[in-house]
Amino acid sequence: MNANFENISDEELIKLFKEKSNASIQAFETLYSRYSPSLYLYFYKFLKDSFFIKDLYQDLFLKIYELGVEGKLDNIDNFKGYLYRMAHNLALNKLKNDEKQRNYINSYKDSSEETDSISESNREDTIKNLQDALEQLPPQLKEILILREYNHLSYLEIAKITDETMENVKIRIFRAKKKLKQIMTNKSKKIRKMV
Amino acid sequence: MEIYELNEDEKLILELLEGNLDEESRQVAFQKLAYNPNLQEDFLDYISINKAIDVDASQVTVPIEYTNKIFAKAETMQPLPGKFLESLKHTVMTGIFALLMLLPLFLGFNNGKQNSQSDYKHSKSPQQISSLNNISTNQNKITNNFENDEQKKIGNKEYSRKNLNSITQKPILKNLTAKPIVANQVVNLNSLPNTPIFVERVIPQTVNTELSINNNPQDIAFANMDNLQQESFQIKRNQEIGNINSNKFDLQNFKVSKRDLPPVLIQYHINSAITNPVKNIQKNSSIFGNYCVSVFLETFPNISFGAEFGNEPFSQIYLNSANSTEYTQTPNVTYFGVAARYDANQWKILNIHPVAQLFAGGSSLGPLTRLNMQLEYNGIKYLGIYCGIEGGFLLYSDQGKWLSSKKVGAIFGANFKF
Repeated sequence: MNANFENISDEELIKLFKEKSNASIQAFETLYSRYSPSLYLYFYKFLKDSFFIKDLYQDLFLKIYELGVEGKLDNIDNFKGYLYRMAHNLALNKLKNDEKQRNYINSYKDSSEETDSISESNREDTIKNLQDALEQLPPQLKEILILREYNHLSYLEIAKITDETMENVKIRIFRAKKKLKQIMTNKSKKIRKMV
Repeated sequence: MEIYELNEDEKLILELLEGNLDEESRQVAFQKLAYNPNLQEDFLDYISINKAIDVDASQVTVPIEYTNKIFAKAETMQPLPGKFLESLKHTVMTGIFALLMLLPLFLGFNNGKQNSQSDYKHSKSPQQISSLNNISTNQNKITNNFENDEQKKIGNKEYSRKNLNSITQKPILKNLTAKPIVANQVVNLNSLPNTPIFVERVIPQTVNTELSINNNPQDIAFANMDNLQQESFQIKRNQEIGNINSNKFDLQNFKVSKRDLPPVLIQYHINSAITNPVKNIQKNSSIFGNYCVSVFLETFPNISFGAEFGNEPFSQIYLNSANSTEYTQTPNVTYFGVAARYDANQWKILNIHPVAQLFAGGSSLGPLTRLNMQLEYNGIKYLGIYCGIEGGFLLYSDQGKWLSSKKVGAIFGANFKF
């Protein structure tokens, strides 16, 4: 990556996409390195399906580059929010379009669905238990929990991505954590001993 | 969705976890925790979960092949200066290379044909040539003095005699050209039954032209055209020379060569309802993004060679063998290259005949081959209208590995022949 680009804002980097020189690809490379880990994490944790993830992940970044080259992102004032919003839409569309995921979508709409307890685990399986518990969260709670705890987005950013009020986001994230704790506690009475 | 509100304890834990409290509020909160073991346990559980999430998140990294794939594709989308020209240059150069590869084949064929004629010419002995000359001078002569065509009977056979001038004024067909180059040469055209002969005179001299006809079993008609005034005239076998059921014509002092300019055919067609066997790409098949323009020369009877350029969509499907993930895209491919065309005129019914076309050349993605099978209607002078099917096979490389894209579709087009 070009070191000169590291201090340039996302919005300025996007404008460089149109440059008819190597600056175009270097600007893209800089943006990619900024957001690729967290967006991959988002897709990976939210969809938990490698068949989807590769498509979505590549489509997202290539679409961003294509739009940038065409100058269609010049008026974006919050690239990070735009990027996550795009990822959110891609993920939901993919889920909607896939027959196998119909039930998953239904449960996304009904976030009051109760989750089952899981089997006993031990200290060494903490991360595995967390992953299992995360999978058992209703998708609506799961997504915002990932955005908040894995991607470290602010409540406001999440609110903009999910089209909800900030207060709602805050409450739902806490609910998600509470449910996560509940699932993990059912599995092993003492979470703290596992970590 | 149910309405959910946080109770006081949950609010307290949330604020502590978020770290949003000032020092005073924080002290109050910790005092509450100290006197409430259940609340304290909850709080510690949440902290533990946060820690577990951090560990879990750190274990997920972007697979390197995902990144490689994105940048390989992004490189092709990069708006570098002259990128279009580079792509065009690549396409044109590949096409020219393909043309050059085809040229030796084409020239070799023609040379072989001329050599075979030459061989025949030299196979005649001087005596034979002399004999033929004698026949020409002693038997039926056609000269410019004739006002009209004339029939003459020699033995049991009847021959026509034509005034060469009158033949000149009514050219019939142009398939072969004969040019005088060396005196006293005999060229035999018997290898081309039913083929019209086009004779072109380079330097008109005096009026002393004759066409003589022999009546022996090896019937030979030949013309001494040294002094022919006309620059060109035509002889159509078995018609212009009359009733001689001969297989041979000897044109003295003339060398026969292939016609300089074969008929030219220019055609344009569009593709429609194009479907990749794997992925439907109909949405990319617009009329203006999906065309082919061809120029052909009818080099041999029914066989034409030429060049084509055009634009068509092809699906590219990348497969990740590690996790069987597919990545697809449908770029429009510009191509240029050589083409061969065969007109099956022997199967013509109601002015409709089958045509096969083969294209090989370069494209903006890689080598491309296309095969067209079509039915062409030629009921209108100079104009042909056709429809048929097309199969395409495109090779492209991805990270050093060669992949292919195949498709079939319908074509509709028209051509103009002159």
